[in-house]
Amino acid sequence: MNGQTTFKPAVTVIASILGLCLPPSASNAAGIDELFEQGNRACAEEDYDEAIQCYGSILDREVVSPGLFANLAAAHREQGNVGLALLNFERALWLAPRNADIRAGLQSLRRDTALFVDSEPGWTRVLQALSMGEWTWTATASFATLAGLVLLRGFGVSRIPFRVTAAVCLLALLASGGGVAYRLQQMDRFVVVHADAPLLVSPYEAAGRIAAMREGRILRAVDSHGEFTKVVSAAGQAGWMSTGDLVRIVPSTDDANPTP
Amino acid sequence: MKKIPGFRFRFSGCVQEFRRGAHGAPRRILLAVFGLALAGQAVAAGITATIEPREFSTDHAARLTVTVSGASTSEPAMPSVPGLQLQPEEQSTRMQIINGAISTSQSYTYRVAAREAGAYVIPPIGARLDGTMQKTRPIQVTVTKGTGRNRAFRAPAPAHRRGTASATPVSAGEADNLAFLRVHVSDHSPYVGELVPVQIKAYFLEELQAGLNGAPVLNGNAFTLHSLSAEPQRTREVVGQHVYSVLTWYTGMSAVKAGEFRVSAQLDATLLVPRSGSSHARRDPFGGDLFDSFFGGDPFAGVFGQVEERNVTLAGENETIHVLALPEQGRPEHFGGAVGRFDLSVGATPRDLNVGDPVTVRIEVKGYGNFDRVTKPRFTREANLKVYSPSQDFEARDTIGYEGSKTFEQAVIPRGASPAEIPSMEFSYFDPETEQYGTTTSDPIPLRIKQAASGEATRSAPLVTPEPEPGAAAEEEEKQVQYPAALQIELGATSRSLHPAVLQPWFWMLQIPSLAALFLGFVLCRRRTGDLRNPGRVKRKETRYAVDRAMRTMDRAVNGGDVPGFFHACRVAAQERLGELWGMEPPAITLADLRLRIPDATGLLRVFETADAVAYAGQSYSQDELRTYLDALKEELASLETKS
Repeated sequence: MNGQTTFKPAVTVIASILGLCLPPSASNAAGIDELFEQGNRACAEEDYDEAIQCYGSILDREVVSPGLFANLAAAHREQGNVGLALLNFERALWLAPRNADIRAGLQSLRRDTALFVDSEPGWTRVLQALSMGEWTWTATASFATLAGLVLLRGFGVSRIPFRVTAAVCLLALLASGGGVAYRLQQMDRFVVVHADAPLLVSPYEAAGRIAAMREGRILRAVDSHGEFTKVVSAAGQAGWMSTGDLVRIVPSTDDANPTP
Repeated sequence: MKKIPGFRFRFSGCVQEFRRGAHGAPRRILLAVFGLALAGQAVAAGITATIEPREFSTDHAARLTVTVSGASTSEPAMPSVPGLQLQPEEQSTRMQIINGAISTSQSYTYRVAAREAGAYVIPPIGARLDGTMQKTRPIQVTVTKGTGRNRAFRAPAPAHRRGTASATPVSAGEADNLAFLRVHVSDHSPYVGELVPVQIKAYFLEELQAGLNGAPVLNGNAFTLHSLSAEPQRTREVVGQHVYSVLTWYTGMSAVKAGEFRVSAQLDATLLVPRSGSSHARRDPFGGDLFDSFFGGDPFAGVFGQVEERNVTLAGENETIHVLALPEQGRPEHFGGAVGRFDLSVGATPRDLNVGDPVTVRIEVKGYGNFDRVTKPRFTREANLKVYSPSQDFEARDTIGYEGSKTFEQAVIPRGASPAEIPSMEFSYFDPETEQYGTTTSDPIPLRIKQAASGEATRSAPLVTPEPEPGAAAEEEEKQVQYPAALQIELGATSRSLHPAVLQPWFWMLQIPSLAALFLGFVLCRRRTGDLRNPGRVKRKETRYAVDRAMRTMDRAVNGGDVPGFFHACRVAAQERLGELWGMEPPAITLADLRLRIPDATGLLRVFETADAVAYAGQSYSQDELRTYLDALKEELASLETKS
């Protein structure tokens, strides 16, 4: 009995890791590939409603990928849904930050809609080079290597150049920790998905309007109250918006479906 | 007219009284305290007046600053200059205490405007300083002819300033009133849409205690009313035989239709008046006796309930406005309702760009008039541009937004390398001064457009509908090129969620083995470090290992009948133990050393002697005999370990 109780958490952890890391099952993957092809064909035939529906079905099966989000963004873009197009491009970049096609698509969208963003400092480009997952696993690998080195050192194994290897691991750990922190800080970004969404002075329907936020603007959430979210723009303009006008780029765990 | 000591004028909401006014009771008390405490100290007294600039046009105004310094100062008496308007703007007080010497200076700032060009002289400005009258020098100013009218001058600004009681004509029914309201409309025959500045002035007897119950309300059905200035301006005026404190609000209104209409204003206030039954009750609420009883009575009347609060609504007389219709003749095709006088300036950045790059066009319309009707100027000809909805921002240069500048920012994207320019823009308005329509036009802005490299063809997918430009919309839509969006053919690496692993509990459980390894490694490393720092402990450990090893060899030798091996192991075990005990190298210990140092250790001596005999003479022993030797040796080694 005791043995079983002790064994259970380990089984759960391993099952969770395998479940999250392994690709979908073969039959499921076949269905997903078929849906993806179907969506692409619909796009080519300019049937964007059908394309969005196909891509949405894939998301409903709890499968996400950079290509899926990029194509969904392209379909929304052709439909004139600037906010949703920008949202999905950002999600695609979140998963594949070095994908030049996705980056070009986002830049083209921003340019054509005059949704310009301020140029970011150079050091953030370094942090943006890897995705959240890549930074996370780099940090994990660095930490595990460092721990192994220390353990070998404790056992008296002296054939490995301990100091140099440990310093490299420590540097990698610090760098990837910074990358993870930067990516975590990006998780409170929201996209305005409705045209001219009102920015209010307080979280009530009847509150005075400060400004109208353009569809596709990216805002940072700092607080929430009921059905309203307090947001701050890159220029520092703050106010309350109806939560229904905003979609988080990286959904929280509570969001079952990342597609609004 | 006598004053009640400490009887102060109070307005609810006039929070700047202490900071700005020279009449606030707290400030007076503070000055009095300092004055009594430091009376007799040397004080430099004087009055100066400066004007900046000395030369200005009828479109603009100069700023006159009169500074009065001294321990006991009065307010300067402002002269009247025909053709010049001196309008009070600010008043500030500065106090310095240096080495016990106290000095105060008060600065009064006036806005100086002129109706006509010419040379003017502002006569000496006098003030009573420490009991003597002192004056400034005359100031010469030159006014040049401006381009347009100066509305600020045209407003019926009375010749008064804050703190100076200047004579104001009295109207019927206002004489001897405790409080009353006036409305000044600067233009009684404006055009439809024209913004007309309006002054609302509330008069209260200077020594009356009063409070406001809100802001004044302007009534006019045919007018669009603008918001009032946030803070009323405080001044003093003489009306009839009495000095009044005056609050002035500024606002504007514009007519929505032609015709004759009336405008009025009202203000709710609370006045503190003496009770009718008191010994100091006035006989006539508005008669001359009122003031004798009101101001000459008990200074604590308000405190002991001899006055009562009375809520009143002050109503100004109706002003009749005759609104003129805008003329049909000469009206530009794209006239949008702007009435006033405006200038247009247009800029664009960047001017060096590739085909498909956006350009930000900044359009500024500045001047004076009804800016709420100012819309974005239009291009004078068809432009090969994709244009987007502009943003707009208005910056007012006065309290009512009559003068200012409205800026539009618009993103445009040239559709090709030619024509390489932002076309000229035009803006039409009606000038009520000349009673004619006017159109101001900007110059075209040249651009340097490079063709994009072949590998980076620009895509202009139809994401949003560009803002249609008047006269060019239909053609633009036809020219717009439809490009298919680039699709990703491969799904790529898939995962189950966008949510990062670092926020999942299992991720942190996954780190447990690494953490355990790190902890164990640190512990082991620490132990190793401790061994290096204590060689005796290491030596003991090595000895114990060597003895144990020799014991195992002896056991094997007994079982195998290996007599030489057995005795060699016996000697090694004894040498290791004795070496640790004596601090010698184990191989260097001989039978002679044993006889010399431990002659009574017969068991060990016997083992060493037998070992030598076996090594050199090849004696043979049975297993029982070897076990006897082994037991004896174990006892001896245990004894030695106890000693060590």
